[in-house]
Amino acid sequence: MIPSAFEYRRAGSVDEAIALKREAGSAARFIAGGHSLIPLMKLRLSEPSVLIDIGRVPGLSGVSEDGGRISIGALTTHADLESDPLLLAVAPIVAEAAGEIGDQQVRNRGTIGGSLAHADPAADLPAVVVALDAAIHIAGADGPRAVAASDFFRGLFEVDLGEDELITAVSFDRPSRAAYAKLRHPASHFAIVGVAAALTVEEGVCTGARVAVTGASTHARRLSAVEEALTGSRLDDDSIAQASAAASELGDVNADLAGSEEYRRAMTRAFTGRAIAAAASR
Amino acid sequence: MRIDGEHRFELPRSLVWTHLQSPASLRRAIPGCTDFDEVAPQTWELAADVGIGPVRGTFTGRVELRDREPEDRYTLVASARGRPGGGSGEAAIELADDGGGTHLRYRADVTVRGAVARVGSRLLAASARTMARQFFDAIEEVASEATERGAAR
Repeated sequence: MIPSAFEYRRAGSVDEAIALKREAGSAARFIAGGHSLIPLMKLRLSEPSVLIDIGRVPGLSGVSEDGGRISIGALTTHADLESDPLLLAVAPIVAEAAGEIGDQQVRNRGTIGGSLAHADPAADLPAVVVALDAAIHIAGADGPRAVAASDFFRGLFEVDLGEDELITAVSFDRPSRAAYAKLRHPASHFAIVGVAAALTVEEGVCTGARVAVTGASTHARRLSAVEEALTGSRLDDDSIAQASAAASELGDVNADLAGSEEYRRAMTRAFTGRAIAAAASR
Repeated sequence: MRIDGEHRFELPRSLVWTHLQSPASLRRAIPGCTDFDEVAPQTWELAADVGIGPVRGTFTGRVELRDREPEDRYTLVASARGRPGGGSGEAAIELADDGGGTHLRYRADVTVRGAVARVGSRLLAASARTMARQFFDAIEEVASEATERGAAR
């Protein structure tokens, strides 16, 4: 339970963090809350030679809104998201999902940027940002860039983030109706499956839907067959059940002690239905 | 733990078979492979640097190809150990024609030990599939390159 030796550097700004990372090379890792990385280091599954602490870089935390666009700084902790008055008022899906992560200690330390960059296949926030069609804002030596959340997650722990890049913020348009439904692992509180749904409804008819799942496969991804089935529907019990059934078209599905492939497929359908119903009733 | 999966190659079955059996192709296609030495017929000892996300480790292991029925099926028996833990497994691999390409199906039984097993069981299936995909993609690339070189000659 004791990590191997590493050097510690603290960055005072985003630019300094990037410069330190360039200097230290690929054996270095950024650290913010550390609640994904430190457990791996303690088991020596991960042995970075240098840790670059970005936890105190100013200007990277908090939630703000500008012209209907909500922006969340990368260092905002899950506990902050959970109780943020703006999110609770205009995007409660984010506060709810953050409140279901791990336990209180994890939420006090863990950050949204860390969760997205780490991209655990069963993390909650990746599904939420994909469903909200969020932009992931990234800083690097070549300047800032933004990537759509659905393109950011590529595979198992694999994201569109270069060696010398870090996430600075996440932004998305104020959602009209969105909800997250999760079957959580009883011990780790990771999602056995978690489904985020964001709907646009006009005169009782669903005119747009984005539905994303986490926990089911290698990374958070959209359920496009579900989205298609929802679009144009009246979001009654029958159409929600029909759309959720389309969640079965997932490709390879994870299996472990918490649930077989078959069970995860069934739970993906069930929690897709719950997320859609919860979103529709908002 | 049982891990099943499939892969489609855009190449004819005889070519896929050849490269799945060729030591030179295996060496190039095994993710992170640094050493690959024949120790007995159809048996190799190898070393590989494997990294999935933040988890990295150097593993040494052994691979054996058994029960070979050319172009149809074979069994891959493998074991590996490294600092984060070890594992062993057997995969039954079947090939079939699929239009102009080849459809491969594998059914593996895998056991892991050590830290990898304690924390990794949640990620085992996804990690195994990710590495299998990397391996088959690399086989496809190696086979395509070899064919293009052949055609250019």
